[in-house]
Amino acid sequence: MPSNAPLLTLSRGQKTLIAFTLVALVCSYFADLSISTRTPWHELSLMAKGLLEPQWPSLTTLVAALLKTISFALVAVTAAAIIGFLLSLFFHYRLIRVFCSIIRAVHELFWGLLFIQVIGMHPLTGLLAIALPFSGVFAKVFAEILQENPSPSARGDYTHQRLSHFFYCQWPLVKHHFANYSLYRLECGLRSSTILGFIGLPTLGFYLESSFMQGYYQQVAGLLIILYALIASLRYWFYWRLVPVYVIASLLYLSTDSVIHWSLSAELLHDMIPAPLRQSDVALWPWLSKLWSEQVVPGTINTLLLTQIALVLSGLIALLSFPVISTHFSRRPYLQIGHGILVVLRSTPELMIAFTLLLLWGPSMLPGVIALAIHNGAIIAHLLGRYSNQIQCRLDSSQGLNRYSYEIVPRLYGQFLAFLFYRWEVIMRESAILGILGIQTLGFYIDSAFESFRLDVAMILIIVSALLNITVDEASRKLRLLLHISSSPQTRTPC
Amino acid sequence: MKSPYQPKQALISLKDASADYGQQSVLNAINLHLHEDEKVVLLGTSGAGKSTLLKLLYKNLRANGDSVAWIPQDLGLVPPLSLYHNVLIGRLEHQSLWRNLRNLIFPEQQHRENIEGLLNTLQIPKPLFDPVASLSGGQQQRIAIARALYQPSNYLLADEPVANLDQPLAKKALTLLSAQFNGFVIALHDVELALSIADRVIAIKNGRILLDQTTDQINAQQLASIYSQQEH
Repeated sequence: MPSNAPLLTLSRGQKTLIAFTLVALVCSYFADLSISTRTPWHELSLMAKGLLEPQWPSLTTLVAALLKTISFALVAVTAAAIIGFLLSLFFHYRLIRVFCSIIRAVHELFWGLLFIQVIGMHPLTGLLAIALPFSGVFAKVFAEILQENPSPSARGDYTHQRLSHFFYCQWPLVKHHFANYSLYRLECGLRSSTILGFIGLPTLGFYLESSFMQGYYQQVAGLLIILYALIASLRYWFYWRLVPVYVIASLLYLSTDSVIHWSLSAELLHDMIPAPLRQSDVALWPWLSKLWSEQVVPGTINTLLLTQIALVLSGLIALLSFPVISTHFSRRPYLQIGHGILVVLRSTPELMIAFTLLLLWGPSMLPGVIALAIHNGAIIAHLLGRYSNQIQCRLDSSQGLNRYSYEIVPRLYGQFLAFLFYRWEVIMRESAILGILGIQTLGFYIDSAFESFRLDVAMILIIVSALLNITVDEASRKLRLLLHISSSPQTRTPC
Repeated sequence: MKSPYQPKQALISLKDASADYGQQSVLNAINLHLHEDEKVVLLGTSGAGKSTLLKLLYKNLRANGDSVAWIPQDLGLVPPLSLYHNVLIGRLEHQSLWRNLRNLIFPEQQHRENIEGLLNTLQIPKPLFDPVASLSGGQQQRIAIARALYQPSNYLLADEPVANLDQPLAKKALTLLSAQFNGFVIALHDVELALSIADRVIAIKNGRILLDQTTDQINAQQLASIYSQQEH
């Protein structure tokens, strides 16, 4: 009989996932996951009917919204790519790294809410809201790509010709990765530009939200189909050589006569200083402790609960659904159908899914959990499926669930964890932002603070959410190091 | 070439079989009859078409629904899985799905003892639940051999299964395989090892059968011709 053999065999990666699952279970005990509407089916049947008979908005509205959505995305993403590239060259400076992690830790909708206050409903608001966080992301990813593809000749002693060496030795190695990633980011930019409509910018999201609010589900369906078509057709109308033309045309289209009232902006900037510091009649300590106990703590707890539950559920959905696009388990035409479903699930903005579910189930954390899990699960499933198609099995390897559990999942498990932990930070940012729909995460308190013109409170809450993101980002990095999983370029690009 | 065997009931019969990769022909005019209790060694230089022939044989056997153990040249191990599970993969087809899934997390006592014994015989002094990725090349090759040995089949197809093992270990592994399976086709490049386990030697060169003889009829000159540079 074998001695000291374990009764239970689990690898370190499996133990990690089990630990996360246990945490999520504990979280779901504390989270409000109830369904409060009495007749969710009625609203659902109306929505289903709408989806079956999509209605198109008037052509002028549609063209304007579509062009605005594209213009914001093109200009902002191009600017962010250039700024991010420049920042990535100096990423070895701690100051630059910290700066980048701060600007990307704040969701584009929060940036949007902030700039709407300061500079009003001006095109610059939309551009800055996307370009700022995207620059931080670009800088980080470009720096990672540069690190993974070191220059084969120069080793850093060339101080005065560093740039020449860069373009001769390293650029040829990395430009392909840069281009791929930038194109993927443009897709994200289109989605971001769309959802900026939720807070009032004149993009597709603006019409989506107002149709939704009024229950015009046929129009919602029409607008969603246009969004899918826009994202799916990106590869057919986007040419690298035309980027300058696109950008100039977009800038011309976006330019307006409206002027920014900088004097007003200065006043608003003054309002961002915490009240006790600018008003003598407000005492610092009671103000802070009230803010802490009534907003910071509940907002943070709810954000964390939502994040941890959604993270584990995303992983579960990904593991269960990647076989639909894997050649190991699926054949034509089912493969194509599987691809189609995953494309729709991952291009629907999570805010839209959450919004729909909120209407159906009433206010609780459940719609947020499900929306985040579906959206992120579909993205990870897409990556896993693509990765699994590169695995070559033996001629005699088994089929079906045997193949799934003994051949494929063990081989892609490391990648799976890398994908999942890479999205941890993303899910956290999205959890916070779902608050603007009424789920009581940090975004809820931030949105209410903006609505009541308490900019100082909004600022503090935004800083808290940024700190939370930076912490999770760091934890995810440590965890990936501990589990020896690298973030290869494929971890980053889900398309 | 006419095969020296005219079996009453061949396990595999290839008539004028060929295989190609795109434009390039890899196998040509192969005529073969193999018995289920015949121990065959396949010889030939690398690139002669041994692997292609083995794959062809495998597909033929599977098409007939025969159970066959298979050791491919690249071993086909699952690196993140443990030694235990990689060997158990040999049994998946012969157990219920539920039992397979349960064994992923709760290894069975019986399997554990069997596999531990098998790995001891093959001299792999590693904990049973270490990942296969942590093994050396030679040890990984023995895991692939153990997987085949753990497979309840009577026939084996193996492509250079002992290429990374030293002579005594290679001999030991081949003896184990030879004892376990009634019949086999094993591709080897070591002539001495080949003669020690085979009833019949088939040599291929440039995609054609160069030699097909029972071991007792073969002579040194014929063997030398397999690896000679002439006759292209």
